[in-house]
Amino acid sequence: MSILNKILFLVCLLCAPTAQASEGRFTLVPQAGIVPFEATCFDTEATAKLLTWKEYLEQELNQKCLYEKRSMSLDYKLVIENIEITLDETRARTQIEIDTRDKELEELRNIIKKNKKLNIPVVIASAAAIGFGVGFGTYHIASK
Amino acid sequence: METLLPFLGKHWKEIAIASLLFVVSFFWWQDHKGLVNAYDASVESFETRIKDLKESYKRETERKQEALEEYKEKVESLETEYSEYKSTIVEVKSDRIKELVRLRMENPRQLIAEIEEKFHFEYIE
Repeated sequence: MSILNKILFLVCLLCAPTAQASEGRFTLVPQAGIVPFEATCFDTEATAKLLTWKEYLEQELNQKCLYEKRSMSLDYKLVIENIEITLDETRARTQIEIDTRDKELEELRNIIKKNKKLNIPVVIASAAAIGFGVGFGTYHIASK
Repeated sequence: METLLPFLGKHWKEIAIASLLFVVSFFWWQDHKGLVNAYDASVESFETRIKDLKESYKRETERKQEALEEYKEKVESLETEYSEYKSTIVEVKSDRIKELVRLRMENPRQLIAEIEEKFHFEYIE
């Protein structure tokens, strides 16, 4: 029995119709019509939708792609713009730091310059010498 | 003059010390004034810096806010445009579906040709 089954299986394989190389088959079926092959039947509306879907698929995907591209471009533009603003303002702030420090240093230098003119030990020595001189002078004048 | 000279002769040391103290005090005051000026210069510098830095931060925030507003407007415009396209394409597709349904009734051969062209299916009678 099992040998017979095997033989039948082989015969079926050998006698099977050759596989179709085409990408698919279709036919237009009238109402209550018979289809000449195993088929999945779409009504006119579904067929029209499939055809339309195929026709507009590329255009829709192109548009979607364009939209995504433009959206991403806007996102990155915003990021870059923010970085540029930060860079500009960081530069400006650094310049402010430099300018104000320069100004401060200049003022401090001027103050130091003014104070440098006064040599305190010399001033004390001079004052003491003048004081003694005046004192001695006055004393001598008064003695005469 | 006659009374001043004996007085000066008698008290010249005190006068000399007083003069010295006056001169030293004057220079000490000058030095102190210099320090106060330096302190004032530093304070003024810090205040200017703080004011300018605050302005810079404020400007940065404003510019970023402007950029964000501009971005939002552009995104909104883009979305509106895309949304309009989608509405249009829905209408166009709907019209096309109606046209194909009509074609099935009026000119089946044309429909067959279109299916063959679009899907490369083989037509079986």
